Amino acid sequence: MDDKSIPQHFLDTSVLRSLLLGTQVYKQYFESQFTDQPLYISNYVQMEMRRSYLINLISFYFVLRLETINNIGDAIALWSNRFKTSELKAILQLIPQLFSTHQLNFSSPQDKEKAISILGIYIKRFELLLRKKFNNTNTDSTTCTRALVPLTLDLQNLAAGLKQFADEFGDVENCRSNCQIDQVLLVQYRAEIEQLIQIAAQLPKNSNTRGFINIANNLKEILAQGATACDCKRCEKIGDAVIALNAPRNMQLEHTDNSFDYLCPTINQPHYKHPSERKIFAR
Amino acid sequence: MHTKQNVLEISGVELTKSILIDLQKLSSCSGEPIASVYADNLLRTMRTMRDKLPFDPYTEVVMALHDALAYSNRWIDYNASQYQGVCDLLTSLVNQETINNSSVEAAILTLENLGFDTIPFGVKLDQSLDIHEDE
Repeated sequence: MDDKSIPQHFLDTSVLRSLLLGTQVYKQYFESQFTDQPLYISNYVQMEMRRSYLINLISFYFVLRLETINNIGDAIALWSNRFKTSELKAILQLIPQLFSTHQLNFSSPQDKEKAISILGIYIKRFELLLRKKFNNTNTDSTTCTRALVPLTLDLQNLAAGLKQFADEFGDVENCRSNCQIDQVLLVQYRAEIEQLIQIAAQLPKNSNTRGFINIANNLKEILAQGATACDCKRCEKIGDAVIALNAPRNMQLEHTDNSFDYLCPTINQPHYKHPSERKIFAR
Repeated sequence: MHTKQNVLEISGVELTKSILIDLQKLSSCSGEPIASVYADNLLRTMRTMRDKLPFDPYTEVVMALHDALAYSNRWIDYNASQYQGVCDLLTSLVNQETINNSSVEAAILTLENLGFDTIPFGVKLDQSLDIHEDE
């Protein structure tokens, strides 16, 4: 670690998702690393979990709810046949575990209704833990508005609350109009970003540097084009940089991504890269 | 309609009380083979509650505990102290006159603090879940 005296840990999305969604072995690894120590996240990190996981869970909820879907198996088949990205495949790992644990019959139309209720309750619980299980630094200088979209759910009318969340979270024009990402990138951290771009230009492109170089290329375009280049889609491509720039300098940024190895030293952010789940399994 | 709502609320409390009996037994014999008798009954009662009272706030708390216990038979890994903690938590809930969303959230967070993993379903992260397009 860069500084073993640092008592507090700020989690990147990669570590947060492992603590919430990792296999038992990987969760145990992180728990052994952070035993009884306070763990911090930011609103922006929460937003990344909402964007990469929660919104997909909600999408599956509505697939399952479709009148043309007769049972759980049909919903899984539709999802697996039509949605191929890795984020969407993660849903296919979760759903069978959740419904098998509840002893549901994947061919039963009756159990489809139970599954809808169970998934709704799981989504509500996941969002609660995302919001409350970890300490919040309350220092999101981007004031990311997507992070603030409330998920208000009434068990008797889950679909309405989930739809409202999806509508508001997906309204990136409104969210962008209320956030400060352009100020953060073009004013507050402009000097640091120029430095990052310079460093990236000198690096060879390989599996270790590719992520960082892609981030730097996007940052370069943002500096060239100005505020108009700062939309939510672009923000997705520079997420690690936003997290590193926003991380409290008195905390250690905990991550698994290679990009932070280049981002953090440049901005004097203490950090530690944890082994991947694959490496932990191989031990 | 009002009468029906009261009946449902009472049933949620009653089922939670029934669950408490099994949890108390589990607390006293955790780690022993006989614990399976109470785990089986407990999980069945929880699923009955899920099916009969899907909108009851007590069900939401009980489902969090259900998932922690039922997934991969993890009920066998939790210890007497943790089961006693759940008993104390549920006793406190059934003793409340009303249970609102704040109480539900606090109860789920208490379960987590007791060491119950209420979202135990793991996905293989390396291969399956990219957060950023650049990774």
